[in-house]
Amino acid sequence: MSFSRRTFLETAGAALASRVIEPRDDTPVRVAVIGTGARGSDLIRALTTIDGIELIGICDDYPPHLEQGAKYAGPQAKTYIDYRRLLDELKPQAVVIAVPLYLHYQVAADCLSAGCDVFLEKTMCHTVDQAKRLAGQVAQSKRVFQVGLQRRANAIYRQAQAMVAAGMIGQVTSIKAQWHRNNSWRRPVPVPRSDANWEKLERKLNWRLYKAYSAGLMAELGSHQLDVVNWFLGSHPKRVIASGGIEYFRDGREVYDNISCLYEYELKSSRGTAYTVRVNYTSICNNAYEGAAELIMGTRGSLYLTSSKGLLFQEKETDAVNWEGNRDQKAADANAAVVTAGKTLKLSNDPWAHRGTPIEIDIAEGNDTRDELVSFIDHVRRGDVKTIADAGVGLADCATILMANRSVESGEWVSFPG
Amino acid sequence: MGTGFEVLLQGDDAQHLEAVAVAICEEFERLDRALSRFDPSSEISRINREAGMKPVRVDREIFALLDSCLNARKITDGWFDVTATSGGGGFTLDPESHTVTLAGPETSIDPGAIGKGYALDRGAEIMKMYGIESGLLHGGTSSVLAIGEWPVDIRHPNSIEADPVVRIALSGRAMSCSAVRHPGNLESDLVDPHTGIALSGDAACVVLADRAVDAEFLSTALLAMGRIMAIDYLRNNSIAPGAAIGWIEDGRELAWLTDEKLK
Repeated sequence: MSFSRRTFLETAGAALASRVIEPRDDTPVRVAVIGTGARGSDLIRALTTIDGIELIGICDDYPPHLEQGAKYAGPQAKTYIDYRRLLDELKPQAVVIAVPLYLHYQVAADCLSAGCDVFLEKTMCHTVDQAKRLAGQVAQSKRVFQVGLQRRANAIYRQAQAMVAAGMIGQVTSIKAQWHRNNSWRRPVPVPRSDANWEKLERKLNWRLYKAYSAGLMAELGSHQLDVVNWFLGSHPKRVIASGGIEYFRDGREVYDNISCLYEYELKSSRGTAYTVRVNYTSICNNAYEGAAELIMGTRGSLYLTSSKGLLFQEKETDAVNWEGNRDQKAADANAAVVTAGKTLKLSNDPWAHRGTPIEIDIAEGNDTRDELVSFIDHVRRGDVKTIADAGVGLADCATILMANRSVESGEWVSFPG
Repeated sequence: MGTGFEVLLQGDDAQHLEAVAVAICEEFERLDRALSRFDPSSEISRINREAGMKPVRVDREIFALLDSCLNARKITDGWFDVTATSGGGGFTLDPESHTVTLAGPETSIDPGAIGKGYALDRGAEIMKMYGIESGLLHGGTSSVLAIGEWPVDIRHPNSIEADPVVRIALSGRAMSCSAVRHPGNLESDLVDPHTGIALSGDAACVVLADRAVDAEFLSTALLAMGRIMAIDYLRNNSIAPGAAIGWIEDGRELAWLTDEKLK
């Protein structure tokens, strides 16, 4: 497979075009934020740096979080403990939702019913049924809807996706991704264990650890990375087998502290031949060696991707694209778009010599969270429902990660829900 | 930022202590991502890239932090300046639009010391929020904050081998040490904000204060002034409440420039 300079530029151009926006008018978009915990606060801080936004209200039913949110939001933002009251009284144009997973469906559905454009944190919903119903409601309402899968807004990932689409790493044959960390994934509770309220607060603040509210590591971490896989492969998995358990943090939690998944994606080559791409995904909580990254492996090269670094490793065996020299003038010409773009791709001095000299995607200036909100607000302003992570993307992502949890429970291969 | 932080907590519920420690570390990481001038995706990098050309809208937290930088610059007569390493010039803040504008395209902000201090103060808030009664935080060993009483040795400013100069019982407050040179360095990485020239000599300034941000900007500013001017400054200005200032010159013992008795 080869790619021409023109194909590359067209693909890259298409991927980046939605970032260039002409606003229709200067009226600030009236935005409210529901859920002001750690993630909600990140979103509030990012929103307050974006021109053309008026943050009119925030809501949280846990007073310390509401207080924290108010500090970041500023005095012009009214505070609520009941989001339905916020919707009634403020009638925001757009709502940003960062509540625990089990509440995603209800809060988002109510916001859509109130006529709001919706930014909903990932994972889209707690169950596939909810995600389907919500996607249906989004389609009917014609509101702007975006799921918080912020790698879709990350310039490194957008460039990498264009590179894969342009065939720069050949045919993708395998993907390996992981989110490894070394801590208990447990948030502190502000009262001692002996306090009568401890249990209630523990379940509220550590909702990620209990199945009634959470879908565990797959939803909170895996959703970002399997969305990258769905995006890059332009498909969703056919089936998965997964194994997981609570092996180290036996502290009363109900969600696995480690999980390993093997996904199969059925694809067709440009000649129409069917083939399977296998994706290995793991998330563990007791060792951070590999951190969070995706490795997209193709017949001509590999892309190593993180939010702040993207590296292209070329396979040595292939009929080399001559990146560094100009002995082969033809090849150099074909790749001139990449090489002369200069700022986009440069030689990296990374010390991983055994993997060959990587070429770095040198566009680390963006900030995922801010950029995904900038994109959302642009779409709200233009009434453009084709967001970077719309309900279809969110639904596929939701189904992808939940089928792994189902496989752990059943011990069997689980197919993508129809 | 770009500094190694450490969190030490004492108590009897290990699971709780770990969760609090992780919360503090995550807050340090968050602030490093926002305030590091080495990370191109940080807010400070965005300001440094864009605010020399046009006003840049920033969040309330960074606005408040930049405001405290301006305040520190004002009350130290310009001896603390977060734009000093880029040649000075400073910046302006517009509270209406919550924007920052740098003096020019060459000007950039390095919130280093004050960012580190702010991170420690946030760490102290988290410790208090979660009932920690004994904890020690430090950033790069030169900025320390203690809840409960902790013995802290101050080493010789430019020798690792020499015996500590003094032991301080740090309790319920922050301490910042600024030295002209680090051990092994021939030249100072601190500059005189009025001349842009690297500091010289072998002095170190130690500041204890209730808030780590105050300790940070005071130790940096007083060291840049030099001992004589610092004494004069302290005589004529009221500084942060609860602050105590110590001075070490040529590795000799620590002399207190304030009347404060140590707790």
